[in-house]
Amino acid sequence: MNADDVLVVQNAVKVFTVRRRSLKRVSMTAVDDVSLTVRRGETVGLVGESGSGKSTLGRAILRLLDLDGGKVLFEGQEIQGLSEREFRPLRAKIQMVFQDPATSFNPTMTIGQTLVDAMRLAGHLTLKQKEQRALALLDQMQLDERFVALYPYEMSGGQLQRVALARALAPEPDFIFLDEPTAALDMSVRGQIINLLLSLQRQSSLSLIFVSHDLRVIRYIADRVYVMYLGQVVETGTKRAVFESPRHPYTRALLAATLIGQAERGEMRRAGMLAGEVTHRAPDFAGCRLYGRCRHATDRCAREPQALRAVAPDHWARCWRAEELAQSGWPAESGSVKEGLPTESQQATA
Amino acid sequence: MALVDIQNLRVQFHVGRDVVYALRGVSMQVERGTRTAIVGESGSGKTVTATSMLRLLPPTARITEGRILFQDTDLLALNENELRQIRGSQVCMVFQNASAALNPLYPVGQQIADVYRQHNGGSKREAWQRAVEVLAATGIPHPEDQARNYPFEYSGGMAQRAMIAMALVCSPQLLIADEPTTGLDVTIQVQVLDLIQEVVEKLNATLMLISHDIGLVSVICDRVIVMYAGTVMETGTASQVLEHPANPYTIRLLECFTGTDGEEMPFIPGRVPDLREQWQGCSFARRCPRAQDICWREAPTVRQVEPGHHSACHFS
Repeated sequence: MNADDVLVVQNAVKVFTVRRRSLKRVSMTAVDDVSLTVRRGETVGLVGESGSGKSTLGRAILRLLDLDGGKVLFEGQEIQGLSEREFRPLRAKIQMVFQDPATSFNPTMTIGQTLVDAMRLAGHLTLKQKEQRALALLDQMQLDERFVALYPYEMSGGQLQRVALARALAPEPDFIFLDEPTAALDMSVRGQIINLLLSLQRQSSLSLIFVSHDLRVIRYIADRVYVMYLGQVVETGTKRAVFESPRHPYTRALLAATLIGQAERGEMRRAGMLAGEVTHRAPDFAGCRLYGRCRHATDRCAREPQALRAVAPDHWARCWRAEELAQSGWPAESGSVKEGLPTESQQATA
Repeated sequence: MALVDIQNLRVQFHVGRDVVYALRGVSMQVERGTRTAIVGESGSGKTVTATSMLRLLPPTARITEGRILFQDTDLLALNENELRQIRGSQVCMVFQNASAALNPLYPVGQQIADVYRQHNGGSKREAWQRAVEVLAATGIPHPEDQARNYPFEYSGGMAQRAMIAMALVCSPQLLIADEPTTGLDVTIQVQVLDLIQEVVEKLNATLMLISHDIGLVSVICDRVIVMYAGTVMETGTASQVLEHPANPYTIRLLECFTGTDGEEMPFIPGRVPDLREQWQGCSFARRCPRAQDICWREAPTVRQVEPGHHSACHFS
């Protein structure tokens, strides 16, 4: 662990047990051997669709649930297994911004009260100082002082999400976990949040994990990117590496689907498309999790577990064909989609 | 002559003591055989326009002015019985949250079969058979088993496929899809859009696709109508509007989606106007970088930019 690593997740595992219609219990590995590092002042983009495990991972980092395996180190301190009392001093340092601004505020409190309340953990401040700091935070979010007296329902989604950011900043955290903070906002105002975060980053050494399935947003905000699929990291690297030379078929499909309105639509879309839906395999299935949806799959993909391995400096992917496919220009005909394997088709539960 | 001709439609919502002016004189034509996208952000009035067509507006809504002609029939002048002849059989609607649009108490196949019998008659066995067929046609794996399953056993993408299957048994002339891919995973969104396109082609139907995602609609639509704050801003072919936008709002909105090479992410400053207010000038004036005095005084009329391409802007 390096001195400038703020957050280190090592081999995190979380297994949920779900009861099927037949009342049979089935275990589902929501987070499967995930390792991740966030350095000081860095923004890590965490990308994945429903069921990828990104929210579960987030809850583990915020100590809202316990892992079944692995470690979470925050500034060198293991936080799994801490009691609530022991963890409390860290709460101020680890903050969160939720997806839906409309439901993440107390509707009976004004914005000013909400912000002052968020400074409870900063016990050294007097009420007067807290109020001044609330105003300063709003100003930083480009909201003028009349917002102090407003209730959440009187504000737009974009404004509220800026308040959510102010609230997260209030106790002077070192790290903020942002769970799809722009997903509920209109495209024309997403940029406001993103640009505010970018300017915050320039002014401070704050570290962020920014969860999103929208690569259009990740492209602006992230320094490094982790792409998750069904509980595993399938590709990780610098933003440039992942966006400009994706090495995993899933990353490519996500890019093709997200940036679809742009010039390169058409061919890339067809070639990059995935078949079917997110499919949970039977627990004894050893192969690649994307098998059955991937157009480049071969028989070997069904049999062999895929390891996350370096494909270039600072760039890892979980696909044994990564280099070969990239070199040959991702031929669409190289494999037909495989069907008929024992599948546990079921939509993931968060 | 257009399949759908909406003329100067005005819709208000009465919420408590407030009046929300949701549609402020919307006119648009949808030609037969086209795949027309209605694009706009929250509050633009795109969904209100669509739900007005089938008169599915909530009780707080009032249509105060305008006509909606569907094949020369004014849908607003029909009584409930006459309207029922059109709903489903001639105009079908696919909703945003498909899982919520299905009845949770009945198997999906049964719901499709009921719709089929309502429109075509026939025996229950035949209707069930047809339901399984259309589920298969929309790419649902193991359709015979899935037909017996309940909506909660369907994923979001599958539920949307089932809704589209329901539209298939009705063979409507017009399919209205209201944000059919919102809330679905991005890799599934493309699949659902492709399916909609396939179904529309198979039925030889006209499509109205309502979406906030201007990038996504370009995949399957040939015409685009852009709305903002209850008014139509720009209309034209997909390439006219998306590649050579004439209206400042469209231009700025497209930038937000496609991005620029700069460090900062583009956005449109300010917010959508409060729809409880009424104003004189252009709806977009307060956020528009090009706004002049006239934009605050006078609402722009729709003018032709080039054949088939119109924009409501004083400076287009």
